[in-house]
Amino acid sequence: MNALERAADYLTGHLGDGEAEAFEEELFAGGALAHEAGFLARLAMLAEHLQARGTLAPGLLRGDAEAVLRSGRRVAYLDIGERREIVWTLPRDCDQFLYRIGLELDGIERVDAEMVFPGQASKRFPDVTFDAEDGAVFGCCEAQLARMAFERGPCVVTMTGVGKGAPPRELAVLHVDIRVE
Amino acid sequence: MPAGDRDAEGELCRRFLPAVRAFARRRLRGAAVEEFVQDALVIFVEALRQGSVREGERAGGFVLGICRNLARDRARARDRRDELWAVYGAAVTEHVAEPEERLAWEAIHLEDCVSKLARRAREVVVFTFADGLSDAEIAGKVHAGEGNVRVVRHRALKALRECMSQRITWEDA
Repeated sequence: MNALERAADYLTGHLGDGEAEAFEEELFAGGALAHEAGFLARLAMLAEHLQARGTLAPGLLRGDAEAVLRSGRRVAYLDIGERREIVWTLPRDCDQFLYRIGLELDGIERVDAEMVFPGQASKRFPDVTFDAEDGAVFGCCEAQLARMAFERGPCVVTMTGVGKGAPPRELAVLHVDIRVE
Repeated sequence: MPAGDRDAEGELCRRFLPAVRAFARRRLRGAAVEEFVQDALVIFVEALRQGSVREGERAGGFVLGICRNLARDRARARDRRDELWAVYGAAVTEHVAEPEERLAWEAIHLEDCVSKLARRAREVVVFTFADGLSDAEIAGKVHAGEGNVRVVRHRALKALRECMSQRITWEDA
């Protein structure tokens, strides 16, 4: 077992008291164990922070999106609805970027998204969280991350859905041009 | 360590910060973790300045002892904490303070990395580290055995470790 796995077991209570005490002796002696345990403790702190803001995992349910809007933080909300050509400006003073993409989700069990900046970079968001009854996929990200992406220029977002026992099918292709103030 | 050697003091605080944070994280959640970390370090700085830590190589054991004592005596330490903070709090804050920009950057880096994980891995990470659930609780939520939860977590953390060591997806190369 490597140092990262041992540190994970320590933090998640997989070690008995004796093992934990021995781990702690090693932890405070420095070296790789302290490095990995420190990484995980920091990851946990950041995960709690992002979770409270609705930005830890891709995709939100409608109720979670509404909670983000009610949070009191400066949230820029873009309701894309059924549009597939999007031109919009991300406000300078927002903390978070929340969006809603209207999709036909009846019978869909899994949605993947891919964001492509032609000739530059791309990113795949596998199996985003959604509720078919919402008739939409909601997403939220920290504004700093959104700015970093959209400063690259226009992009193409492809939403793919998978129904039970069916092959993947394209749900929507969005041409997105979001300017950054 | 010679009393008054602030650079060495700062270096020692930063060296033990990850270990102290991990020690606290195992026992506490939320803001209490960082409170414990700061409390342990003010005691450590006090000891350094009083010349109680004489052998650099034994400092780790000394800090561990502080953490264990602090964990035991936390409730009783409340009054002493206020006193220590008044005297040494500013020094510790200076030694380990982090700019908000750095935390914000690490947060969006984690956001970027978590969004690339497969759903099962993502759920296990979220349930473990953001929600603080036990493996039994997580196993019930993801319909898997507890052993499987542990394996998925190990793999997910390896992926996150790798991802967090690289640039954010949208960062310029």
